[in-house]
Amino acid sequence: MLFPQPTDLTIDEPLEPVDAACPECGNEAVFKYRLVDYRGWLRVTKCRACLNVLDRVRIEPPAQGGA
Amino acid sequence: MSVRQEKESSTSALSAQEVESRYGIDLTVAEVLRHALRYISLQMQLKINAAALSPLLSEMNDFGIGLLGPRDEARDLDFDAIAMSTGAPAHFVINQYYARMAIEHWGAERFEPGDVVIYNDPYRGGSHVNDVGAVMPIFHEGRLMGFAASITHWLDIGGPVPTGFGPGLQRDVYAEGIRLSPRLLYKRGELVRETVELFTEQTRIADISSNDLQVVKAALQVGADMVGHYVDRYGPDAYLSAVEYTLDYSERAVRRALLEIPDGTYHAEDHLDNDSEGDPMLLRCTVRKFGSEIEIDFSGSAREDWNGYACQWSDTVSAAHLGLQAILLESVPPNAGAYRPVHVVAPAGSCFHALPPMSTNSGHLFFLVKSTTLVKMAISQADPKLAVGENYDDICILSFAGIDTRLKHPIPFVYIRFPLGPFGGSALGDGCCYMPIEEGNAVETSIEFEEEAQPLLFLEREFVTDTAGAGMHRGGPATRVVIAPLVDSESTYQLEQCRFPTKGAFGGGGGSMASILLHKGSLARWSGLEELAEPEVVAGFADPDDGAPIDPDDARAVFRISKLAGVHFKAGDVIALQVAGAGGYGDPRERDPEAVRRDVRNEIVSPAEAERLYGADLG
Repeated sequence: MLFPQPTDLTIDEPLEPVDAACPECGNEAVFKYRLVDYRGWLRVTKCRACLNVLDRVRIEPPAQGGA
Repeated sequence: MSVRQEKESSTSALSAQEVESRYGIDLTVAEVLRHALRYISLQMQLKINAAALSPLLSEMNDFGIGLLGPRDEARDLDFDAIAMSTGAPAHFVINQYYARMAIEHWGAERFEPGDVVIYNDPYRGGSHVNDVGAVMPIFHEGRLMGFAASITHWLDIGGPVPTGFGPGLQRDVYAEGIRLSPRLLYKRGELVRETVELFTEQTRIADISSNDLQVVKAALQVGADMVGHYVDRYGPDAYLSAVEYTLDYSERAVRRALLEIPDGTYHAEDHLDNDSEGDPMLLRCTVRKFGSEIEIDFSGSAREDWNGYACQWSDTVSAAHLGLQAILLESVPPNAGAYRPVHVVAPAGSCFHALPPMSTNSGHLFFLVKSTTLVKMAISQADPKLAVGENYDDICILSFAGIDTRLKHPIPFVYIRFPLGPFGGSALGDGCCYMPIEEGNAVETSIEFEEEAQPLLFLEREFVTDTAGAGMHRGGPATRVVIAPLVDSESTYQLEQCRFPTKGAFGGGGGSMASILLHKGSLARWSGLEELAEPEVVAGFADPDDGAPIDPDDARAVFRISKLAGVHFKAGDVIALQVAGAGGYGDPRERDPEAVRRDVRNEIVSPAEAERLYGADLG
């Protein structure tokens, strides 16, 4: 087979824990991960409790034609 | 004041003074231009309706068309969608990615007046190969003011399967049809013949394509000309200020609505009937809502699967936005401003985010609808007044293609029907009985038109008794459509909820399941007023011995896959497609007795079920 299918039956977005509390709410559920905003893909550092974005970097979409 | 507090305080309407100081234009000009942008988009839509040959464009409204802003960092504009027509909403949000990526790929600096760039690669922020994107730059005295942009669903895009939808047959994207990276359709107003020939020589609809490609250009030109009119009148700076105002207006409206939803984390789970092997696909969605921000996360969903069982991330994001918009009680003008408060997590390699070269042509429809529904189901838990029973949860397809041999000079035909269905009950009332899904907003073509244009006969289109999910506000009933091809045909069908019933909300009951049944050679019997031949299950639960319908709870029941291409029907076969009934809302015992009596009179509910489900005393 030229292109393998993922072996895991379900797929999660990988969350990279960040050793910091959210400056807005103090919660420690802060992670680095990828998401899509209204203009495209971002890698964010974000609090999952209050949705405060601590950092954002615009990235290329993981999949593109011709890639 | 924190950034969050600033956002939440910015949801209230602006005073005339605030508009003047923030945008440098007076409120009247801002509002005139905000409405003008929407009006221009509607005029562009009418041009397509009036001139296109494809019934998907002239009749159904299976397209989106509107305006994009320019790239202007100082104004925080980046080719954003600023106004869209009322066509299919599936084609609204996605322009934020599809058009932007095409403009960037082509190079914004390369555009000249009169150019039209066309593209259809779903792996460049798109949906599926049949959705053909096009952009035309809008210049004013040499300054790029933005773009006119369209996405039009092409009836056929070549490849092995007529109409392009090939579940089970299109293993990967290379099997889907022609796939165009951005290229010129018009160069400085002149048609580029080689691009047109891609459509006339590689699709099954040469005549339609030849006409409709020029119609797309004409509609984009309407938009460019009308924007030019307003820029001439108000000046380019006032125009761009009004664009900023328009985007912020929609953002404020969405943030205001989000503040009404209780903060929290809400989960929803659903299944697609089957993957390519026939097994159910698990679908999950988590909605995190805090203040005027929301994050929609599809982690935990099934992996992508070959043969059409995956969709593009851009489709998922688009659908997530539509799910949110659908459940908000106030409608918001669709533009990029409305999308600012929303983040979407679409895990790569899941069925909601295909990686190349997965085929996504069929999955575009499956997962577009499912992701919208998941968002609605999750947010339904936040507040009873937002809750809604599950709708028929599908953009169903039944297509026929072949040679119309009834004619003196037989000609090929390609036909696709998107049967509509019911919506779930909500706090506001019963679910609608026969509606396009949120992504569609499309008009069903008339049966008279289709019987005239295609070798088909429609024998029936009726609501089906006892299919609506019970509830204080019941769901809409299922509709059964019975069609007979008049010539031998190759068919594709895609139908959802054939394995799982739709779900009710807040104590409401689920609706009935969908199915496709075949009555072989029964057109002659129908013409003679005889009973149709015993049905054979095409999609749904079947008796393994004879293919007859069977109770899904019967241990012998086998599930016949509900999405398949390359299926052959003979002239005179009768095919009965029944969509799912929709879920109800609230305890059925709290339903107004008069409403139950009305349902019985209208044969939505039988007397026996009225008594069993609603405790009705019909006297």
